[in-house]
Amino acid sequence: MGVNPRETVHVFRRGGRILAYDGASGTLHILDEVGEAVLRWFMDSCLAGVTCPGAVSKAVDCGVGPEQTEMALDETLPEGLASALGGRFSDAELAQAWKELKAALGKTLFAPDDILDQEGDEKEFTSALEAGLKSMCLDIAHDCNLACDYCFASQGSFGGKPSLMDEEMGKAAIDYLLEASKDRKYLDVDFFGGEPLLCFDTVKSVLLYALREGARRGKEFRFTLTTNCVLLDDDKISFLVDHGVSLILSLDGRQEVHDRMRRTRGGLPSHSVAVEGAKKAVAAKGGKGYFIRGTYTKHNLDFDEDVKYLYSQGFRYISLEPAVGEGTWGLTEKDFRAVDEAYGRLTEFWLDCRRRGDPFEFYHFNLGLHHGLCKERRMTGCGAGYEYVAVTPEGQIFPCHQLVGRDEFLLGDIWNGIKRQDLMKRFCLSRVPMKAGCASCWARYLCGGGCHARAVYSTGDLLKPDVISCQLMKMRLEHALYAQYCLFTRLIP
Amino acid sequence: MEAKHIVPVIIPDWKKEKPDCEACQSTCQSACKTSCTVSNQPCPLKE
Repeated sequence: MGVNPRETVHVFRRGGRILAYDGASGTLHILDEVGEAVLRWFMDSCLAGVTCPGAVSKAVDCGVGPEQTEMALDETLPEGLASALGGRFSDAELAQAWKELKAALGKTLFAPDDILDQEGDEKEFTSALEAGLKSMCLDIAHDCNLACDYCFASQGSFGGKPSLMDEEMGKAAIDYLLEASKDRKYLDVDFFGGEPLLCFDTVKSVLLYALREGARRGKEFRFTLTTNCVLLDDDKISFLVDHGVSLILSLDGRQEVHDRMRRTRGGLPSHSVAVEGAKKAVAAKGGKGYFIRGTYTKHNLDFDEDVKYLYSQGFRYISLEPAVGEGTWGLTEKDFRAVDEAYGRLTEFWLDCRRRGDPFEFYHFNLGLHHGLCKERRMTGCGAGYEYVAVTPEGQIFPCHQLVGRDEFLLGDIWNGIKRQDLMKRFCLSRVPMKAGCASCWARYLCGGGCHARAVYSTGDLLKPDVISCQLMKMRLEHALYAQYCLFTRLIP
Repeated sequence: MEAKHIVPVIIPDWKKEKPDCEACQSTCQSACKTSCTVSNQPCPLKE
């Protein structure tokens, strides 16, 4: 697969800083004006036409680059560089920056890419299939007490008839996961919907069963529950806290923003009761083990105000996702400028809170740059369809929660297992090296090739990521990288 | 040589395998659900 080296390094400005991120090595650089100019000159002049996969430094050896690349690398100060930038910077500055660039080439800039070098090695990429499942989204309820405009699940029913999972079905799903997880020890189950609290007896029964059976078979379960918070009461919270269930709490922020999208089936607002429920749950959990998971739309492009609102209500673990889709609420390119500005203000707020000693987690700023992600996650993101599946109240298995109800993605059922091994393999092979648009992208190992479901809904092809989501991701990553730069260089505590 | 124009700030240690890798991967999945469209997030066990 052809790789455009110029795209694998990204130079950008945020917060008055000039940063360069190398997609292959994951290294973040700080540049000054001279460094930026020299790097851009190198990318524009020396790399024109270079398509060598992996390291640009290999371009010379590969002989695929223009001759000037080889010549330039040997020079103390290439003539082309001096003539292009000599009017702006001194020869000494340019020579120093050029020396630094050469030292970085093939190491922290335009580094070799071990993953892309495995291109064509299908066995390497499909070995994950043999490891078995590790995570299950258990659709406890295909029904909901809310009717949110932007809901991907058709207000909870996933396009079908409303239904609830009974206890026996839930236990059978756990049995299936225990078996399909093979030798894995750690398993995740997310109680999902619709609204899973509509059927809390099943949640309780299934959780206790999983703990019991897991212990008997040497497996450890971790549980999450995703809820709109409206039905959270003391008894439910107590059970969830006592059993260490992590909570994903759906709140969008300010009252008018939340209630515009998240109303009951009778059209009533849900903000007040949802916020109170979330506060109770978070307090009971000691302020940890949860994330507020909101959505911003075309109607609240100033979503930084919603993060500030959530912070003011005492929440310290916050995630807001863009709404991408066909509805009137869906973001389009016309909104990007406003979204970018909102992320900029949000970044400053995030930094300010840290400086004041009362920080909060914004999910998408947690890039884990130092240790990085494991290789599998860098290549594939979520593992939907082969490590992670969603199970409906009727026991059907789909690749993920967002593809539930799409018959063409029905993998099998919990009694007979996976019937569509071909589909499972397709999901497993839908990874960065196989996606033409991702292989060169500087953001490839921070995003893992994007959401499979979004690709299906947008382009109809697992190997073609949704363009809007892609652009939003890269925009958000720039802000996140800047935030991490500030954090790690101790510009903030 | 001390760089001053092009300075690497954060150099990740991607190649170093962790002994708790399996647990790490398991944790990623919950993180996925948190963001839905963005799954590639750091595992707390690796930080």
